[in-house]
Amino acid sequence: MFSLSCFWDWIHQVIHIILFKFLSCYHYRTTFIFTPFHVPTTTTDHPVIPDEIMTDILLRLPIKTLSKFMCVSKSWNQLIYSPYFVNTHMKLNSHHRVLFRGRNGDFKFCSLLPLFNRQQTVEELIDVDSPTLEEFIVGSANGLICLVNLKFEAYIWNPTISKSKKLLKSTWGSFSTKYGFGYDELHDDYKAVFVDYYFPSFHNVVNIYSLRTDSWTTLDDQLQGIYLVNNSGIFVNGKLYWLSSSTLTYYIVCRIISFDLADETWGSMELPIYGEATHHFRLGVVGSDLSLLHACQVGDTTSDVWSLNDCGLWTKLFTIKNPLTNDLSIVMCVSPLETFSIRFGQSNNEDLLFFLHSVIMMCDGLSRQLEQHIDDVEGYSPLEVYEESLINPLTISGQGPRIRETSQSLS
Amino acid sequence: MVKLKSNDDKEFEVEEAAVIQSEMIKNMIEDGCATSVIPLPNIDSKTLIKVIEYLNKHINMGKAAETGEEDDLKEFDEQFVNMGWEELFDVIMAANYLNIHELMELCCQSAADRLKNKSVRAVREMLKITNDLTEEEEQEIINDAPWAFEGPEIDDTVN
Repeated sequence: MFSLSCFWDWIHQVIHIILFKFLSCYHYRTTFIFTPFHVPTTTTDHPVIPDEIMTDILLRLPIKTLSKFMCVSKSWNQLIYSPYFVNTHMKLNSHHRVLFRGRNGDFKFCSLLPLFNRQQTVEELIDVDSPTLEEFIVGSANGLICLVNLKFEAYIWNPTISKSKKLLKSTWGSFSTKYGFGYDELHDDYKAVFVDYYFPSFHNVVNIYSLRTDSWTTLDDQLQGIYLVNNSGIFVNGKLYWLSSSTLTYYIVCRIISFDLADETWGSMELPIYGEATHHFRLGVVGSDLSLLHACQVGDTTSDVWSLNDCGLWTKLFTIKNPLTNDLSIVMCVSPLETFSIRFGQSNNEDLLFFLHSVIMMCDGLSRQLEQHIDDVEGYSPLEVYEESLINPLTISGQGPRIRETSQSLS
Repeated sequence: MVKLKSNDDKEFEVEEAAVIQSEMIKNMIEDGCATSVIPLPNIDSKTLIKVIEYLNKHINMGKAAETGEEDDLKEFDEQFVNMGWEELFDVIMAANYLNIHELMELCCQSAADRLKNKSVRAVREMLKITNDLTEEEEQEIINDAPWAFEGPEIDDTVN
């Protein structure tokens, strides 16, 4: 007497196995001859672990282990390389690291989570190979970091797996360049957006790089009379954001300008506060929301943090008490060229980490008092928070536009 | 009480409150298909005893938080997964068949923890996987990420 539900259970399992076989055949490496997924052969009567269960187990493993297990067998290699696995692994394992830069331009990193512990300053910093020295960090998305060096060479780099892609040389690079980097989910693509302003006419050129097509698109004078302020655009939910000013020489922040990475169009929105000293704004992220820090004047004791909610409305999240030391208090007030970010921990106490201008401050959950936490570890200062991921910029570049049908059936 | 029968023809009586942690059996009961013995052709009695032990311990999961028995349950879980590699996989297969989400989570995590630091050779042996990569292909993968194959933690044992 077998019920309908048992039957559905069985159907469910069959579908799962078929789907898995389809996915695991989807592999990037061209050096291997395509073979249909084969179930590993056994030498005893012991049952073979079904592929979907093995996938479930492998998805729990850290990146170092998975990179090692790529050479267990062809089918494991294909699975761990597949976009389904890479993307699912990133969604299930949200581990963040903090990138530090030394005085020589080299990099080290540590995990983000232990930094929430007040007693601990920093665990040991670990070396990481970077593709170039003396870089400016544009931004990061899904574990990929975009960086630019003094020779106007740009890279997309995954420090977790030590893989980087040098961007094709292009004509970008002017006396004032504004940078942005983010993920276009619609096309499963990573894009760098570099906006050049040329002297003396101040005309602008927007250069957009697509990692998937490994090519640049250039758009002339799209931002007439609009000057982007923050050096790096803030990437939130498929869009890059900049504060904008009506003059280039003296920043008077008047609006927020956005660039949609999927359809490559510009938009604009109002600031939540009017009629005040508007050059004391900074754009940033709180958790995963676009946010604005309104730091008022030098000497002020508090700053307001505003955040844009899902409905597109600005709300004042909280008021924080500026650091008591003068040096840090000034850091809070300097130019809107720099951005900020606020990170939440996992524990119940609501302490926040506040990243601003190469300093990490701790914001007490109850008193909202900011205090110095980490600024320099053995000559290294904190730069950027990024996710651990298996995404390899080299395998994404040059693949051509992605076929949408494939990615939809993977969800 | 619900009666379960293993593939070696042994019958076990389990409280309904315990057994409904299995989505599969819960659906059968709701559909009125569990009036007599439920045959489990994929599960042997040794594995079924382990699964029933888990179900009986987790019977009052919701209450555990209120009565402060969470630590007790955590300790039980730790002890529970302390079993041989093949036995663990039998339990995983049973949990998958019976659709017991929490047990599946516990055992898959335990399997992942055991595999984490294993060498490639050890993994192939533990999971009985035949290496079908050529030497050149294998070397290419190692050269691509040499850092993944280094470190004092790498463990070549197979248990």
